Amino acid sequence: MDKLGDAEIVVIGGGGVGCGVVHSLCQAGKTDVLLLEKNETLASETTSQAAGLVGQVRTSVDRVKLAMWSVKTFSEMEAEPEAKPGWRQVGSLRVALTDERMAEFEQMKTTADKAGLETAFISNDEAKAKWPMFDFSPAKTVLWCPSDGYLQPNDLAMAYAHRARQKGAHLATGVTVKGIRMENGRVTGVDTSQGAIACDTVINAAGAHAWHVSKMAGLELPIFPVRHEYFVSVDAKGMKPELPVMRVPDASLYLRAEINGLLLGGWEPESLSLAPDDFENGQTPPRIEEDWDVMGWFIEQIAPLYGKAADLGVRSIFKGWPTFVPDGKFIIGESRRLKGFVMAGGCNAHGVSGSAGIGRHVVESMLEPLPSDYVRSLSPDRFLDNEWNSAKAQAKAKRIYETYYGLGH
Amino acid sequence: MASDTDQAVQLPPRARVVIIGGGVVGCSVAYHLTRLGWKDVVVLERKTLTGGSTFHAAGLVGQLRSSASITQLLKYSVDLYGKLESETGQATGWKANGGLRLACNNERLAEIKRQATSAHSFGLEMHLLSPSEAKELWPMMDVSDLVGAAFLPTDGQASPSDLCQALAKGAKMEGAQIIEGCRVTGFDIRDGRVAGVQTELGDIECEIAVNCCGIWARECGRLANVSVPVQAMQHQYLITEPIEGVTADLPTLRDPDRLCYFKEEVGGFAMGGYELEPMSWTPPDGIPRDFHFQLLESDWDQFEGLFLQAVGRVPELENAGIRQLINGPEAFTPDGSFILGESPEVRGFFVGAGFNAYGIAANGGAGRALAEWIVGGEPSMDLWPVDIRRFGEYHRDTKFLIERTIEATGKHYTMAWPSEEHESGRPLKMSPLYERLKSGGGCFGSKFGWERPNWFAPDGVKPMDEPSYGRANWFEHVASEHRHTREAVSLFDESSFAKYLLAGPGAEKALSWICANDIAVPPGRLVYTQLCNQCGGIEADLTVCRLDADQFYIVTGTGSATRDFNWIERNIPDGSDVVLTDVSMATAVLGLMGPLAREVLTQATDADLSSDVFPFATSRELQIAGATVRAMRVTFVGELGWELHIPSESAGAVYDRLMELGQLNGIANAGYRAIDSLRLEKGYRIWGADVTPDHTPLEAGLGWAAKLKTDTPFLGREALEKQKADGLAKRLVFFTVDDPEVVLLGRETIYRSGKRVGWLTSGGFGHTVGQGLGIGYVRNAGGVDRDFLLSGDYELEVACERVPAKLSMQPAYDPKSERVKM
Repeated sequence: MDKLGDAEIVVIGGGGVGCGVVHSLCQAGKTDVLLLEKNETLASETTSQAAGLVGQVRTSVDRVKLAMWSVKTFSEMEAEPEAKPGWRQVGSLRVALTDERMAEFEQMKTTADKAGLETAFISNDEAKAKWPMFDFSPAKTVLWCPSDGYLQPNDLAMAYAHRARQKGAHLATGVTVKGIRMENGRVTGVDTSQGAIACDTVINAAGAHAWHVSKMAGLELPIFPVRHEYFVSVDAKGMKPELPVMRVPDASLYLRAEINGLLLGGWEPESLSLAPDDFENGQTPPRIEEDWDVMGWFIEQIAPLYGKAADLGVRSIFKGWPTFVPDGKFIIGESRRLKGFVMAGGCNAHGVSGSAGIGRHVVESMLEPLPSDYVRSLSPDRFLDNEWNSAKAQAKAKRIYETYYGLGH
Repeated sequence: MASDTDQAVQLPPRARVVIIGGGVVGCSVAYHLTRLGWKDVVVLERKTLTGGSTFHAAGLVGQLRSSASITQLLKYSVDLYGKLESETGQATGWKANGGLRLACNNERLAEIKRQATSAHSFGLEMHLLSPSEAKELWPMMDVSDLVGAAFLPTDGQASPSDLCQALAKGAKMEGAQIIEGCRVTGFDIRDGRVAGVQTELGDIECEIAVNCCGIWARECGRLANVSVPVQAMQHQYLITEPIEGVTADLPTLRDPDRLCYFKEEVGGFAMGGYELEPMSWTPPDGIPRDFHFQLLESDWDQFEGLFLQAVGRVPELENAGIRQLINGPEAFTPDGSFILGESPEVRGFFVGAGFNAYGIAANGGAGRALAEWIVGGEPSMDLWPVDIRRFGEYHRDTKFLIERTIEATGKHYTMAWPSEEHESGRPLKMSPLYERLKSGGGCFGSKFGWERPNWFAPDGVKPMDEPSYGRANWFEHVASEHRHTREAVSLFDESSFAKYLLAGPGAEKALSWICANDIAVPPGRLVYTQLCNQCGGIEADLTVCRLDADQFYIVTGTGSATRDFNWIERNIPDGSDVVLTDVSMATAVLGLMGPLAREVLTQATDADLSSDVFPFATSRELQIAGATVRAMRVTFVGELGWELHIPSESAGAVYDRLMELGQLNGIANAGYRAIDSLRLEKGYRIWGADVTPDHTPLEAGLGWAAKLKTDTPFLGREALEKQKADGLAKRLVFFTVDDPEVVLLGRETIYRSGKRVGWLTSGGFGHTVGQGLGIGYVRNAGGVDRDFLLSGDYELEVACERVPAKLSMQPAYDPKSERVKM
């Protein structure tokens, strides 16, 4: 464990986002950084349950660019000899089953073109050549993105941590933050289970605990953990790690190969979420029971394309509490209300894949005299400046989850 | 566990094949012989089946080995084990639970990537995994020190005894006899052929005897004066009590950086390894007579190192209950590859032994390969890495055998560095120039027991190899020697070449039959030729020099010494009036090569060396430094030069004279690694790599070296004529790669417009042309011709990455060989 001394910047939370933020800070020359993770190992909460998909095809140019930046970072790290994130640039297929979805894809392609992301519509035959076990006859169109892929979230966190440490940052585990010290409207330090640490800036990358950490700073943000599950099957014919990722928005599903098995997940129509004070700061979020109905629903949804899904044995189920916010956008940046308190959360299940881009935008929000419109639109003040009702906000956050692939998102 | 075999009372008086040894290998050979229609097979087992090494084998079946042809054999093993139970009704315990292979450092990862490329090139599924993905397959592993891993989904494990019984049952179902309780005491050998086997229960006449005696294989070979270099080594593994979390589908795990392997065993683990300093088993009076179904004493001191390494990988192991530490003797070989084939000493005496503790994985493919060799009279595929003819006389030396086997076994899991040299038992054979070359900075390796300088270290540089999968420490020095040879003149000690003399009135006729090229040339001429088998495959690639009407001098590669001699000897037509002698030791060879070679040689001798008088591909006797030297104008480096064949006792004097006279021309020593990069630029093929029994001269682009335009019959002619008429399905071509960062080593996969079409047989760097170079065969079932080859975009897969490459039908340097004929 790294030593606990004072630091210019303290990052709370050692998941994919926390580590990504530290990495970005170091790249920008800010190396007097201390990351505090409450568990004994980095990336052991929500990150460890993530599926690792990295998709760049989005509905806004800014959002595409954020993802492209992440992909660029992952590719660069993978090309280095040490501490690889396990990034596999296998490409992705986005399959449309309805005319409306086809129209949405056309718009997404236009957005991709504007952002400089290579995509192409391919024929059903071409899609089948990439995924021979699937039946593409129900597909209306398929959008192919060759630079998409997936990675191993734990390896990604370690890859960030390794490079950050090499630049002089410190990452400490087994340390719980209990309070934030403030004076005259600015952050002066944090209180931890291992004593007090002085700092100028605190970055909240606490994932499912981000609401708690914000509360410590006297700020209330609508950040809601929403349960997400996916499963990995036993070995199935034709599955190999080199297959492209696949998303079927009309079925609310995503899938990829996990070594020789099928990894299948999705966004069920009735989500399960927590009110932030359902659990205490420092406590692990509540244990999740596997919801076999939801798994069954995924299998039903994929059946038109892959009838064999029903015969697959399930080897393991992954379950976690990614956080969602009512408008479905990241919360990034400093609040006017408390100098030195920077948000890096509310990722709506894009924490791992967005981590490098998020880190970059965090740095931009902190160091640029005039951050871009996009970054400013992600500021926590968009919630803090307005009244919001907790129950309504939670319902909205759940809707974001349930309509993850909703048309026009 | 006795099986229902015939009672060991009545020995048949005769059988076509007698297999000695009832372990998994012997039973596999019997099984495969019967499947090829040879049912008159008897297996003689000393005591009871599996009682040697089979019963205590760990049972892992891993297909990936350092040699591609062995890996292919093991692929077949896996196919076989999957079918054996349903075929014979006998369970084998086979399950394809996959095999995980770990890498803890970047060099090991580079090795795995190259292996993966190789595996892909012949359709063996192998996935590269990140540490997290590896942990998913094996949750009990600590992955904090991993940089990567590979997963072979078709690997697995079997129950050794059950597997052996299934093979035995399968063999018996098709008519083979298995006789237990019968010990072999000798062989009846007539005119250099097997005629029968003598046993404690009587004699059996037979055509073929197959030595599958495991740790007794050397002893058995001795009874026929056949050399079988196997050495018994202690090999240990422990078995734990059931451990929570261990499931039946857990893949086998190999952790070579920690020297250990794991396999699921009844809810716990079998865990073993290959320690760096293994122990041989050499009981002073030989293996005890009654050693049967016996283990050696467990040696915890010896095992401790492996155990600690294993605990680091699987922490649960520390507190697990240990049921047993099994120490059993296994037969290992001096080079880590098993031994197959017909012995060079006695016809009809076959060997299948020395499986280096992976007999359970290998016996399927090896048993089939040996059966095909027996039935076909020749190997059914290129098996050179495991061929019994790769050994030399020096392997009969017990001390050398033990030391070298210990070294090879200790290296089982260490990195298999490209060009790595063995150390033990050296120096063994030295040319007369050894001391001179050593003091000249020579960094030596060994081949076939011969000390050979690989490269020369300039002053201030240590003559020591530091191997790498990238550019090694010798790269720049070899480059220097290479360029010097092309621009000035170098002196190579090539004394280790094998040399034979074929003499007698019947020599021309016999050699005419054996050689594809026309050797009926006037005395003083040299002929480069292949020796083909019945299918047109290239069994040897060598040079013949006609000395006079009845004498031919044959020169071939160092490692082929036993094999080529054996091939020529066995193919001399019966009744020929000839004598074949191996004169390798009596003659030293110096290669004087480079554009200034004539300038140097001219000072050393009175003879006229001009091209009119002494053209390329001719030989003359010269006087140099008081010795009569056979100067052969031939080159393996592609420059003007002479191979000087010197009586050994005069080698020193000739060397000194040339070095002295060549001072002003800048004469310098050069080594074997420079020879390799020089010959690669010239596209000269190396037997065992670029040309093998799996290739014909037509496929290798050597059709010009076969006398098809004459009417003279020669071994392989029909096959070549047929191939000429039918067209080729594969063709040797040359590749260049411009990117200087890419390191070609051989075995890289070739892609033509995205489709896999073959692999490189040789790879390296051309220091004169400044490009990466490769030789390989492009395959196409529909036929391969110039148009096909020259169209298409080519890429090479190097350590799992594709790089663009350019194909040419011509070598990169001096394709018209103008330099050679200067």
